[in-house]
Amino acid sequence: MRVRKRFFILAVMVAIVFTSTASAKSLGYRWSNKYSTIYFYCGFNSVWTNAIQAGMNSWNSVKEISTSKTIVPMYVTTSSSKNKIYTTSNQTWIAKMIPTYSGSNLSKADVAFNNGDYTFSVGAAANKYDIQSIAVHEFGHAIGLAHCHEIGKKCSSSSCSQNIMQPTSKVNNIRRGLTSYDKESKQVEYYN
Amino acid sequence: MMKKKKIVTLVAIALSAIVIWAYNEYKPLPVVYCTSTYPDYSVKELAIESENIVYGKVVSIAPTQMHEVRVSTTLDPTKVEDVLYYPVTPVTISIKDSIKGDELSKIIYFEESGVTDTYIQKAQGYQMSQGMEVVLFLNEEGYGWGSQSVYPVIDDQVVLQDKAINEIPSNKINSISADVIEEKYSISSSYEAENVSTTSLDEFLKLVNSYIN
Repeated sequence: MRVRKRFFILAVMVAIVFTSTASAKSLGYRWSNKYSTIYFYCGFNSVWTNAIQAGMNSWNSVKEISTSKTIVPMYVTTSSSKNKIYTTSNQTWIAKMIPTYSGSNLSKADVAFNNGDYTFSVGAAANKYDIQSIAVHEFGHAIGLAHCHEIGKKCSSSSCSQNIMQPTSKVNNIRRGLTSYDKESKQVEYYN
Repeated sequence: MMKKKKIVTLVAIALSAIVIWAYNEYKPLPVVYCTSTYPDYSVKELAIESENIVYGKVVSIAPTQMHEVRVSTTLDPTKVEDVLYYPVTPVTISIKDSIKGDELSKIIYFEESGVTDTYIQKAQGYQMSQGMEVVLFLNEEGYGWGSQSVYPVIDDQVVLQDKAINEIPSNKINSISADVIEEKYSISSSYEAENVSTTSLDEFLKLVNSYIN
């Protein structure tokens, strides 16, 4: 019975890896200890902070298949941390995760929201970007995921345009929920 | 006997040092990808937002620079407390046609990519290469809005992306293998599609001009 259960878990893991690697994209690095909590200093008001933490929570809910443990759990903190969340201006991008590497591992991840050139809201609003939608995308980068790259015919499909790891975002739009592509990307990134 | 053992040990240490040095000197740098999120612009929005829209040819690619981002930990981005950096590569474009903006002979496009001491960052979408022809949508400082600002031109055909495909009549759209673009024209990209859509340069410029005039 135990052998069959083990075989079943192994089969599921192998299936996920082989069906996902075709789509999952790694940035080229990840956190070395997949079970360590990553803290990000956030000095913003509670509206922004809660929306950003909600974005992190989407990723925190993705568990490792074999252990059901949370992989690289992320939390905001008001205590000092090497990873910080910033605002900025005079850029063409809406937001960006700026990493620091050590070999093939992430050693630091900073996230900047460009509220100097663009306007953010909580929820959909005219000419504004939903802060939580942007946050969930950036913290996908912060765990080591790249943009999904199936552009062209594939990217015109309704499912692909819903991926959190799409490289562009729309105003007056909410895109907060991880698709199976996003979830599998994280699981594959931290498979071993 | 003892002396011989010493010599062997010393030679082994020296060889190990050479191997370690050679490995560090010549090991391939890790390749990483772009992490910016850009507004989802249609070609019309890009045309309106851009200070310069140019059709030209890549004539030189300068060494990578580290782009400075002045940041604040408050909600006021003007209260600068820190500076972050990411790589950009200045690409000089010899202009064949200034579609929007001043009539220039050359312009510098800052591609979000580069080679640093510790890693190589790939551009999102199509990567600039020497001799490549391209239509670019740029702001006044020479920055675009990610991959959607870059339209390679091959044999008078513009390589389209999602939104442009939707804005051009379907009977004016052709298809080409992504492998051909890479192998014949040496244009690499981070995209994974097997085939990409194209339209004639005239058709594409007609569309862009309709948005700016």
